[in-house]
Amino acid sequence: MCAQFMSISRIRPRYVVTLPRSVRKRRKVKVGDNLVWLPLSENEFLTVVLPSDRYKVLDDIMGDVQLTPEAKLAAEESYFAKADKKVTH
Amino acid sequence: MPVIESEFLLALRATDPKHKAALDAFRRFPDIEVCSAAFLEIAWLLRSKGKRPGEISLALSLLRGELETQGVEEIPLTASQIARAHDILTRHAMTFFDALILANAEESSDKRMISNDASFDATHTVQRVMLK
Repeated sequence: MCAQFMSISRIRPRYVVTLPRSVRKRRKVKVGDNLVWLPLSENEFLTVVLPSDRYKVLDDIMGDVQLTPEAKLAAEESYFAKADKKVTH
Repeated sequence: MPVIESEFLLALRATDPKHKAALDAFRRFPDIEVCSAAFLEIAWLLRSKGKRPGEISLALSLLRGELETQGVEEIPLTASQIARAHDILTRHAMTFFDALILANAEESSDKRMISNDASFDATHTVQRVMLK
């Protein structure tokens, strides 16, 4: 995680927040982009910026997933084969 | 409240053939519920495709976020549903995840499921509404 700069935003009525200029400059975010909030703890979130077409992002990640009986069985076999194994990095 | 399963979640992909039908369903059924077990199946479908945990986390968060935005409620997976899934498996030929999703869907308020998958008809406990 890169923590070379820090900006603070105040939560305004209706929970509106403005992205600080430093954040906007650092990552070319555009009006209409999506922010995905991944809760890490009670007061920590990881925010991921995604382009405005979030369905396209789902396509990019899940494009090759099929829901055929064969694919379902393969997923199931993978589940039982890997369920007790740690994920390696 | 009809429930949705993995097929519907995959239909949220931009180029999925049922994408438009899924978006229409949000308008047709304002009180949809989603089976938690469907997220489990999607996660394992992605894992079996070699996706990294970070990608899977992002995909599930995007799906959950989309459903939350559409006001979709989640039916939590419980121990009794897991037991019921295994009960279904003793009587019917279906995958573990399908049995889990079916057991999960049986807890919905009106026991209707938006799905084109006929394997969910096996128990006759859930009425299917076609995703079209």
